[in-house]
Amino acid sequence: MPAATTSLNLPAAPAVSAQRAAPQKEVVAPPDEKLFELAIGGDRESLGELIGRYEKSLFGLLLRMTGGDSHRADDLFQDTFLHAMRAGKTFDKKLHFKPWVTAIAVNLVRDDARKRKVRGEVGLDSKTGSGAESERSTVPEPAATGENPGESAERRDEELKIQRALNGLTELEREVVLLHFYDSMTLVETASVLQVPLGTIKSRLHAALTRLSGILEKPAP
Amino acid sequence: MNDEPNLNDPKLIRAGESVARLSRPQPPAGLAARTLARISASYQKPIKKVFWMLRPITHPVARVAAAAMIIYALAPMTDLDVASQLGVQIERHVTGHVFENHVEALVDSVISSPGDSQPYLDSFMGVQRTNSNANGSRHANVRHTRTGT
Repeated sequence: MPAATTSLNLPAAPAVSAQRAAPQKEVVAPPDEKLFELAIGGDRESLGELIGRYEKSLFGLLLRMTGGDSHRADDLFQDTFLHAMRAGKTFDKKLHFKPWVTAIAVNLVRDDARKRKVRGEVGLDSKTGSGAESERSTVPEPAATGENPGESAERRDEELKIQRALNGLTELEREVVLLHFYDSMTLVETASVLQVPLGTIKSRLHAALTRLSGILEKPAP
Repeated sequence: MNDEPNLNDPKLIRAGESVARLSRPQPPAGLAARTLARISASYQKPIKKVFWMLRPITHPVARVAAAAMIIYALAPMTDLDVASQLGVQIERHVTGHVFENHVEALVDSVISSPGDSQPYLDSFMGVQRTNSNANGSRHANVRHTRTGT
């Protein structure tokens, strides 16, 4: 079969001379959509900047969605941008980049969960995996803060409790809660990411929060 | 009746806020660089091309089955009687005589060698002409009288 090769023209980063570092007008950062457009055109620097902008927030979201599996979140983060670049031509410039790329990430998490289920690996929804075994690595290490050890331990326990409660939700419930509260998306944005009507998002969020508060209020065994 | 779920319940708000308070973990070192490298590498990888007709069929067994079905559908065409009948049906119901005339004229012009004449071919194939149209065209109704060889 004939093979065709496509190549991304990635120009080398321009050298910045010390002389040009003189005070200039305040530089306004280009919006994500513009950076993505440049990245699609082969600008490696723009792509790097875009990935850098989403590195923390998207990785954090993926980490919470995968129940704290850092390796999976790492792979999914890379896959998300790989898919985004491949589907770049279909990106509607009138839309915002964040909900679009988040939708790709959410779909990849779902696909990954489905594949793991088929392979017989324990998923978060699996009731058999709700024991101590499933809690291996399910709680990400909180970011280092200036807290004292006592406060830090307390905070870690609190996070452990919340992450366990999140892991007790269904995949759909977890998605809506994390997108709206953790990723600070509006309900409309959440609806567009999950591609369901606004009413469905509200009822799903209500059900999820009811269950979550029930789990959180339950005294620890 | 208002079926709108009440999301203003303090209990639910507290649960949501607890999720919002979760820390944003630090991404692993070099995640952005690895992502960039993977994207660059994937863009330089050759894309395997698959014959367009077989693209919707991804499973190898399904491809073999599809090829077998195509062969099964086309195999009767090796029988001249069946092929001829089908050709007549297509001429009558699909393409029409005008198109057929054009095709034959084109084929005649392409064949450079004088070859065998139409009456010879007709007699060889056992075709008996029963009618001719007003223009005297040889694309008239034909009847196959061949009873088998």
